[in-house]
Amino acid sequence: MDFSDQVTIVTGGTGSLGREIVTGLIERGSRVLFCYRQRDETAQELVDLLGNDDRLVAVKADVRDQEAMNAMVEEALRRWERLDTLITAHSTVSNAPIVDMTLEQWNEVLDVMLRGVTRVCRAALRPMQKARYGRIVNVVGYQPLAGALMQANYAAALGGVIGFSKALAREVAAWGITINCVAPGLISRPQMASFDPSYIPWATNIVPLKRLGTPAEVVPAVLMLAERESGYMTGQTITVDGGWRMV
Amino acid sequence: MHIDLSGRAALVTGASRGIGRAIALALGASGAAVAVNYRGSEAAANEVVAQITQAGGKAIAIQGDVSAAATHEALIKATTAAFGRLDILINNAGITRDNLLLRMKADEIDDVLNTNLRGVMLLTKAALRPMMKNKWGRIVSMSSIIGLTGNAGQANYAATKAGLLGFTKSVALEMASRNITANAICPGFIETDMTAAALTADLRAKALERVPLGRLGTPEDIANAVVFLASDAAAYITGQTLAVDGGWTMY
Repeated sequence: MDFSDQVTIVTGGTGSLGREIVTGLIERGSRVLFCYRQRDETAQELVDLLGNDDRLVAVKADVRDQEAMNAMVEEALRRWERLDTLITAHSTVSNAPIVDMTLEQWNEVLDVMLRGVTRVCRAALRPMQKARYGRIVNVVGYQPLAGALMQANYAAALGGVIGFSKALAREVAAWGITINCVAPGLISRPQMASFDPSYIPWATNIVPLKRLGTPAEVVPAVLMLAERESGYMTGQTITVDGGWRMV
Repeated sequence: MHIDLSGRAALVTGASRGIGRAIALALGASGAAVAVNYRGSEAAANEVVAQITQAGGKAIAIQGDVSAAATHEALIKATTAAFGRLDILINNAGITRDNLLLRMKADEIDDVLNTNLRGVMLLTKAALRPMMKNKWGRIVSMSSIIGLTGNAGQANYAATKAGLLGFTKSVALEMASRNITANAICPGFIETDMTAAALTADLRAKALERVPLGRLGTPEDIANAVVFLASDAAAYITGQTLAVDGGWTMY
């Protein structure tokens, strides 16, 4: 997988998966601009770790702000005069049973997870259409495919992203732009340290491969869809879940 | 896709032509030793072998009809005898015997089932032991978008291709604890001898109307996805179906 000469934008670059995606892209030669919302220190650490030759830029920008997304794309174009790939990997959850879920919880998750994807795609599409080439990969989750307790907002938002991706795949196919999703299953994340101690044994046991996935194991599927050679897949969702759901 | 499969040995059925040929070449280019299975096209299979070996890779041609009763163990044994192991099985061989169901003869059903489904089951079964010995295995089976959408005139073919998806998921479950994954690929309309023969200019134009990306796929489009699923990069992907169809189905 060779991304040299290419320019990629990644949203949620400071998340556990976003970091791995950014790292994978830099290792394979891409120039990368990633955005993040809160974690200045994590962003700086990542840039310090990887970005030694002006190939990596962090931008503090909120996917809830269309102007910020437009400006982010402009920044990538100003620096490198092209945009080949967009990967959305930002994430926020606000869990509650549906009956207790507040309107704010619904709105926040939908605004970030669904509207956020649509905003950054809108911003990125114009240069891709102009170049008659583009790759968009949206990281979703197992929730819209399999359902998840306490995460009706998250499942609805990401189900929306899958539908949006298919519709967009049809709209922009004529410009040589493909849009696909990757749906990770149960992936080990730092937050799991705070979960109930029974969670990891339970999760390990229900996955046929008998282990949680790692963020690094999700990255190859993302990069496979992002590479130039995978030009005949569009509107698809690849599930990386150790055989948990097989959906 | 630059994936390193060196040290791995693969068996690709129906590898002398079309999609199977592209898969064999791509696996070979990634460093895997490749057993190129063919049924009738010996010269074409030898050419695939020559291409791989001339590029510095390892390959052999193995004759065998996957619909035949005694072929399956023999194909696996020939592969392990040549390379000392078997890590990757690509169930690619497939046939069509198109007819409307009203007119379809029992033979037309049996032939397609025997090659596309029964052959895959028995060959996969035979491949499991060497893979278990390695504690590593990759099974990738060629289904079709016809298995997802159905197609008038292909009731037999559609049944086998849909059947493969259920088979793949079951194998994924049975073999997960052995570090063997099983996945399926659903190609859309791909430029091959099979589609060239079947598609008149008119049918071709009609088919293309349904493909958002506006072109038929190439065998290389499919090979790219196969190599990915056959590699360590796909270690946490099992029981899945990947449609490589230019946006035709989007299921």
